[in-house]
Amino acid sequence: MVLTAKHRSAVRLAHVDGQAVRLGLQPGLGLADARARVPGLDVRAADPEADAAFLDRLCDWAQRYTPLAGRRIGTSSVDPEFPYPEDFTLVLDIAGCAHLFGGEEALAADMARRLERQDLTVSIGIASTIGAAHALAAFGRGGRLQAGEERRALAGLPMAALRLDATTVDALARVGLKRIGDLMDGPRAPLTARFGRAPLIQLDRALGLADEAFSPRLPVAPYCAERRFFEPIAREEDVRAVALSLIGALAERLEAAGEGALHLRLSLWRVDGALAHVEAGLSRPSREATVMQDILCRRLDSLAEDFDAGYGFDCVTVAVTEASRRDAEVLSLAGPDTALELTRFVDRVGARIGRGRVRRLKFYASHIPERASRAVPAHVAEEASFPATDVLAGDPPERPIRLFAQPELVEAMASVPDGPPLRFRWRRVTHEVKRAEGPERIAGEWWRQEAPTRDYFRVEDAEGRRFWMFREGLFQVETNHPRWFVHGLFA
Amino acid sequence: MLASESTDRIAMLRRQVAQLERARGRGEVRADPEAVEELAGVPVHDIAPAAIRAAPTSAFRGGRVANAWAGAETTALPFGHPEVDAATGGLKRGALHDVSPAGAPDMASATGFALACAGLLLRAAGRDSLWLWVRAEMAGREAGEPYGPGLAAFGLDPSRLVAVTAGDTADVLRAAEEGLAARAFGAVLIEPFGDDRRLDLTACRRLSLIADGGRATGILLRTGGIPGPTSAVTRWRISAAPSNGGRQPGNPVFAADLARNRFGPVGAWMMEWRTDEQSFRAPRARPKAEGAGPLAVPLSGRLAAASGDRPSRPPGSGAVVPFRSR
Amino acid sequence: MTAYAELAAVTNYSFLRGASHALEMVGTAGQLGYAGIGIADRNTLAGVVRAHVAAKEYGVRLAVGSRLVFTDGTPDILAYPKDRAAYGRLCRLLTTGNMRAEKGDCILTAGDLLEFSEGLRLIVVPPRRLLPAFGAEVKKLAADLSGQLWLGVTMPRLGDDRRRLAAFAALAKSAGLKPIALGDPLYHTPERRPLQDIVTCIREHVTIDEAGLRLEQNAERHLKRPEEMERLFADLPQAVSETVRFLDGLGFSLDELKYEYPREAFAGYATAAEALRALVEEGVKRRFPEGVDEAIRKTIEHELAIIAQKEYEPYFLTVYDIVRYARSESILCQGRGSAANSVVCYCLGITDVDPRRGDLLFERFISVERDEPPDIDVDFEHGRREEVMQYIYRRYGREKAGIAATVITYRGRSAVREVGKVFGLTDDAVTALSGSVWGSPSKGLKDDDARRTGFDPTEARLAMVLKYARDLSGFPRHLSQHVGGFVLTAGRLDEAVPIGNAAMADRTFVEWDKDDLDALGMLKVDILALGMLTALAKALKMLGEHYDRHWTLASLPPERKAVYAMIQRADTLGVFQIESRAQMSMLPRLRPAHFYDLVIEVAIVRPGPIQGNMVHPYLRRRQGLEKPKYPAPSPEHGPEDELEQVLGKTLGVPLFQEQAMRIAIVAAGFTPGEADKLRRAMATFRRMGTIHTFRDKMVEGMAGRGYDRTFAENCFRQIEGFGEYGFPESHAASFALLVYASAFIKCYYPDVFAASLLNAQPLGFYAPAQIVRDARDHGVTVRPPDINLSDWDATLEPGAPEVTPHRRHASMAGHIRTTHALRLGFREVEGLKESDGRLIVECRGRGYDSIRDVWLRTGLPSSTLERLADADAFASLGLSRRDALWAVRGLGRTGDKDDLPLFLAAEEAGREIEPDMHLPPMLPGEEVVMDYRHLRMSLRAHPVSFLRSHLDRLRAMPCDDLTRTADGRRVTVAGLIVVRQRPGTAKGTIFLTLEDETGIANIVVWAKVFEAHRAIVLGSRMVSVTGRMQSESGVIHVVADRIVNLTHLLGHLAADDAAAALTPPGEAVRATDKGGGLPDPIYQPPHPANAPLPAEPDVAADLDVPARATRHVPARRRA
Repeated sequence: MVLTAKHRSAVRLAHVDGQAVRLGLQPGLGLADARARVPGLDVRAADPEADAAFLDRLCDWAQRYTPLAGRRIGTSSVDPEFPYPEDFTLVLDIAGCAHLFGGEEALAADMARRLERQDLTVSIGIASTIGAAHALAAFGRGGRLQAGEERRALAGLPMAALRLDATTVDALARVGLKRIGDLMDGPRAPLTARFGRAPLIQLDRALGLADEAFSPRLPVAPYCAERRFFEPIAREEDVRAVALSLIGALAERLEAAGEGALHLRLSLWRVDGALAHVEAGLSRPSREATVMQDILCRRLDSLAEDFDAGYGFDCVTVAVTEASRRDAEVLSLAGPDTALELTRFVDRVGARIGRGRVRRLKFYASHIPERASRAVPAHVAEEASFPATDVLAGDPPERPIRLFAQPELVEAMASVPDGPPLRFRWRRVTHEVKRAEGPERIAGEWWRQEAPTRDYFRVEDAEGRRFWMFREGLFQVETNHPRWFVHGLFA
Repeated sequence: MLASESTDRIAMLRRQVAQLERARGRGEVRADPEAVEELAGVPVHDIAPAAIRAAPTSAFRGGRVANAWAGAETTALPFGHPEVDAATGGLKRGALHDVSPAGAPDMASATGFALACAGLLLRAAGRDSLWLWVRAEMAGREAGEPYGPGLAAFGLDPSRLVAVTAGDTADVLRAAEEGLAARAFGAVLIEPFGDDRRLDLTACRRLSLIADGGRATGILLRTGGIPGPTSAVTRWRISAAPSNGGRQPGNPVFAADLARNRFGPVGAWMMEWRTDEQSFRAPRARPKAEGAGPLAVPLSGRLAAASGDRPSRPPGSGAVVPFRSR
Repeated sequence: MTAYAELAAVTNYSFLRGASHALEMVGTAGQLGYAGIGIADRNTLAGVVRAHVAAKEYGVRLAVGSRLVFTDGTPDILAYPKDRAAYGRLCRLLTTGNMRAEKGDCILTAGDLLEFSEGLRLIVVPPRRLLPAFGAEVKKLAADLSGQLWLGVTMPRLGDDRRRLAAFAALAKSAGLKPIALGDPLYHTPERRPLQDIVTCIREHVTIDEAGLRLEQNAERHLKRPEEMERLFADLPQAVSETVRFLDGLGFSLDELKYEYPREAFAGYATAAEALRALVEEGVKRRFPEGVDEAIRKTIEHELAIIAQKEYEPYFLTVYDIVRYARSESILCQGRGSAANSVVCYCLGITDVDPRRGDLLFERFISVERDEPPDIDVDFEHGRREEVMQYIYRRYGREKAGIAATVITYRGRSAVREVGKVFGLTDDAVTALSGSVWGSPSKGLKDDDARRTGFDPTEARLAMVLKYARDLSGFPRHLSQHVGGFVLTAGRLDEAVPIGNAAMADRTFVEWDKDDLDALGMLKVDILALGMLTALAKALKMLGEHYDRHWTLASLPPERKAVYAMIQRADTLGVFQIESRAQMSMLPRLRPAHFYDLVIEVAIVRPGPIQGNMVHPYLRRRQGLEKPKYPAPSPEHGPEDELEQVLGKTLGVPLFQEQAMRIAIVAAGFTPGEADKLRRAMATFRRMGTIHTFRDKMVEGMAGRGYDRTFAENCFRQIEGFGEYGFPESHAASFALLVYASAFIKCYYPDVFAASLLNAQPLGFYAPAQIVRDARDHGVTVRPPDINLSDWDATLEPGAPEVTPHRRHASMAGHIRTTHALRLGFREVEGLKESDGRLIVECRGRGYDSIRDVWLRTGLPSSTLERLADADAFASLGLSRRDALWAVRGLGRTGDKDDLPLFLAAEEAGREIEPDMHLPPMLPGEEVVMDYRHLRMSLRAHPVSFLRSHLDRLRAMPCDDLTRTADGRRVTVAGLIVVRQRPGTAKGTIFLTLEDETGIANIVVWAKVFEAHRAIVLGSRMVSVTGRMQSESGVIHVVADRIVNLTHLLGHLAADDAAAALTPPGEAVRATDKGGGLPDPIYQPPHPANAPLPAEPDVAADLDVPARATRHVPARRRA
């Protein structure tokens, strides 16, 4: 199996699996070439966004070990313009956390075990610098490095292990500097003059001679409370109870700090590695436990159907991710915000009668009338405005106000080949047509399936009722017995 | 944007002032044939002298009609039809209105009238405002679902519509109450279906009460039922009327019967909705049944009866839908 | 019957809008009984000639016009000229719009229309809705264009048709215009709606699912029956009858474009005839200094008589004028094609083939019966052709000279690609699908092709893709300029046809292509470019400069035995035409020994003769294995040897077009004109389907004269076989001259030959690496590019060591006269710009003494110097690659190239001395890899030489050993794949050429073996091949049965542990054992991909020579 990515206009391989490697395929190869060599190749498009999102999830998951978890997507490509295959790295600062898991090795082992259960191939490096740990994990075999061992350990690794960009690695290789060791004893000034500061800075960082800043992916929550379980909990009530008690703990701390929570996040670590977040925002800062509990519970309720505890959760945290001292009163002075009101309406009514029943109309560019306007659930709908048509003085409406989901078959009398109905019987009532306009001919969308052409007419009966009707099938072209339908009603 | 909006509005007001003045000054200054014609279709007894007196031109300010019978705070929107405006003082905002078809086949006309009212409301509420249409599931099945492309003719932006489909009248009322209270909607159409006992006077009053807070305007559209008791400020019974086109259907024309008017006289009028002006007016002429020329040019003058395999079937059941997606 | 004429028809020349060919539109109009049809494409007249031809064929009355689309909001207007003058104005109008716009666009305003409107009848196309602005616009136009403007009305079936019709009728009345009915069709039949939707999607760059309202809502935009139009317009019947009245007012036909030749060429003479005769007589004296014999004289008179009868003198004089210009500027040129059939052309110096050498058939060139101008194609040095073209523009003016268009059409591949995209296939799928189109592209993708790629052609969507791709094939997609076809006129060209801008600066081209111009009988001269002429011109110049030999093409010593000996050995790399694998394998069998053998060689190894199964009979007869047979007619009808006279020189096998025609004339009793028609029918028989009439005529003619019917049918089939690809003999002769010339130089002066080929790149089948290698094999000393010694081009340096050719070419030792060494130019340095290379030479003075010196004096950015360092071009400064790179990187790197070296110079003095950096030296293998990476070749060693010991273990023999191996033995050879060919005629067979340090090996991979080794054959850089050796007449092949990918070996060339890496796994363990001390387990690489220094996969890519070679496949040569 291979994954592909687009490079300029050519599609090239981005990732290849073990079997593909054995068949001689490598990242960077053009897809057409690859197909020519291996007919029947399993090709999927790479999805960097999904990869990144996955890594984000993994990164969040890793917060079970330390709140300081970051991620990095580098590349081991030598082509600066084709950054594949990517090199996915999680960076965890476990200083001070490792003892909770029985030491660094035990933590690494626990992590490896859990990740491998997810069918992930992991390589874990532990060192006193990010650079050395990364080099070990990505280019060495992983393992743990005591402080002071870095120099010896890194000397033999390739230059790319310093997390340099492909251009720099290439420039160094061209003058023969291919291993990290080649750089260690070189004169610093000339090297910097030629290759910029990056190589030596990265080297110093890896060796612990220079500091490296590290930014965790999720901001460390100002307030966080957690509870771990030896025996996983699975029942919703238990989760709820734990969450409520954690909120209680948080409320006290907020009280002490004189702050109010603006955003809450409940995180549930499932035993099998899945991680679920439940987030809730407050419209005004609050440190009332009941308020926070209420809002989080309501969100939990909304999740009730999707709630899947699997084999249970072994860790639950509640974090206040945003807190503020702002005065609550300031907020209410702002006028009613339509969007906010709407969201509230959708939530409230949706909660009562079902979210799918609150809908908005979405325009869809199609000539087929029933496809042109569709009702979609309001909470997923994005704005799509209907095109404006210029209405000329005296022009009557072109389209009905109400449309039947299923056109209703009628008996009709009409002149051939394409005249309007003169008389028709609909819902047991016969209508005499006094006025009519048409046909508006709408042909089927041939690429979906063969469908007969429709001739639409706007008709008005003797009482002034106005209908939208169509004849199905062109007379003597598509059918000899066209059928008639009422499709909609005009005002 | 704003400028053109307000010029539009001023232009419309001017027209209406002119119409009212013509109506007032009929026969005094000059005989305007068009004005005479405008009134020709209106039953004489409907023009209450009080109505004319009660709608002074100075009452038009900022696009709102001060209703002579209402308190100072409530506002109303002109229909554009002089007699109707005279009788009602315009469409009252922050209130509940009741619209029902004169007979079952008139449900589309009733819908159209309700949409026209919603259109007036939305125009006044501003371009960005949303509107709500809560309807019972059966109403959609029986009278058809709201159709986006057709709504523009009533000045309604379909993409600003929130459409709620409720299973029964109880849910319709619940959603409608939330909607009226939400302060998010420029107009709320409430369409229960069937003669449901839940829609009693109490329920109606609840709606009125919420609307009355000046927050939202509700239009109770009783598409499928026998009109029960109401607490609405107006109750309209609408039936279809022949349009003004030649051989093709023209703009919608309604035969509107104002059966209840809390602040004024009742009456019945013919009202034509002008799609280009987005306003009502009195129909220009008695519609002629036959326009000029034949309806179509047949190949050989032949007629063909076309129908389903059987005489009319229950609606919505088993009608073949030719365009299925996949 | 209702009289109706459609006046708003478009063809597919309204690109990506119209969905029918002109032929279909016009033909359908005829079938429906239209009173006529007006073709009006969007701002163009590109499709009208096709419509004109079709209209004649179907007997339909045609109005030629254009739909003017404006950029200033003016509604679309259909414009039809009333007469020739008005037509000229329409052309001028469109030209004006074209000239303002980028290629393919036209910018017009109402003002332009008013300027050129005289004599045009105009119809305003109604918009969908009658907005007040349109009404105002129409009234304004009506005032400006009174009496010549109509208001179009349509009934598009969009609901409000009748209301709309009434409104437009009212507008027409108030504006004082007559309403006129338009069908406004986009296609001829409703069945074309899907295709129209698809082209709309292509135009709008959307998929069919996204297209929505961009598509037409119904299938009504087709040609309707006149009665139907009458019925639709029942409310306004006069609009229908008006169409006929409108048409009656138009009196212009394209036939009126009476062509007039430019008169510039014969200034100084009273008439063109007088001028031509004078020039021919002058030429006779030059060409035949010893006087002409009676036959030649008769031929000249015959030709002049026909030319006079057809009044073609100005044409000959025009071509003569162009050739004379080229000669005066010493631009090498030579006429090709059928012109070489003319003694007049020979005398005028247009062609160089002595008419006495062949059997001229003037009718092939000009025929009395065919009312078409002759077609003279002239090849020029490709590097200097532009000078000739600009001369033509200068001399005849841009209003009288233009380049013909080439219609770029959708072919199998592009059609599948575009249609696939429309149906939302992923890029992968589209690439795979379109990639599976091999061979005959005009027929589109076949179901089997799709199946082979792993698609199911019966799946509904895919079936649609395939179906509509087939329909789309043959649709024009845009116009492009023809490579060199010039149209020249006496009057203004832009009043005969609109002219537009080409993508290239300074080029303009007309909207009609060759066929269109032919159909209208307009003069065209093909100014073609031939790379080999460039190389030859350079070679002749170098011979003069370095060897004091002053030859021209015509004066090279003829018929040298050594040259033919070389050709017979297939030692022809780089020689014009006979350097391809197929040609090379034929040479030892055909053993050409005379000029005429070369003519046959050029003609025989071509798809036509190969498909017509003519090669083997000829070979057998040539080798004396079979006697030629010449069937004879019944004695009463003609001499027994009448066919022998025609086919004798090709041993009874018809190889040339002239022979086919001669057979028709001699054996079947065709007139020369009929024979020419036959030739033309053969070339186009797929399209026209008229071949059968000729078949019957020929077979019956021959049978009637007593020939065996089977023989006659075979004859015809053979002719059919090469109809499309066959060479005229005259053309083959022109090319054979170049074959001899290039072989001559290669034989005696391989240094000059290689240098001229390198300097004329891209050219031919081979990349510089192979050219250089071949030169070295012939004993030429080749030196690398160097900062102090190279020019941009390759140069010759005196003082070469004595020449000793490789033993393969030992027989040439006595003939090679090379005394110079070849110095490669900067042009071989990958990525170096020509201007930079030339700058280095200009600033060099007495030489550079350091990299800093180069930098300061040339001011080149350090990125450019890095390229030179990578290419190892600083060797004369004593710097290795890495040292040079280190030095370049050490140049003031404070800023970019905007740093002024001048100001920095002062600063330089005070620069502190840097501490030394010890850079690891490069290993030989790595040097070679870097050579390949930056020069695409290496003069040091062959990459495979580093792997020899490993190959020995694999029992792969050096390629050169094949020559000493017995036929039929199983052998294994290994090497880099340098050429990979899949000839269209070879039914899936692949030809590989392997190269190692000793030579090359030719591999044949049969289709079956290929399928089994597909991935390896297509994806490897280096392979070993095991198979049976075949040797026939000195041509050696290995017929592969097992192919092993050895590409991974190359990856180790650059690794510093190359030797270890190349030892087999078993030995490697032992080696590490000996080395002792296993590394710390933590750092041990888990798998090769994570090895501390992995094999560099892109090294293999650097050695991928064929990638470059295939890029240089020459443009398809014209038959």
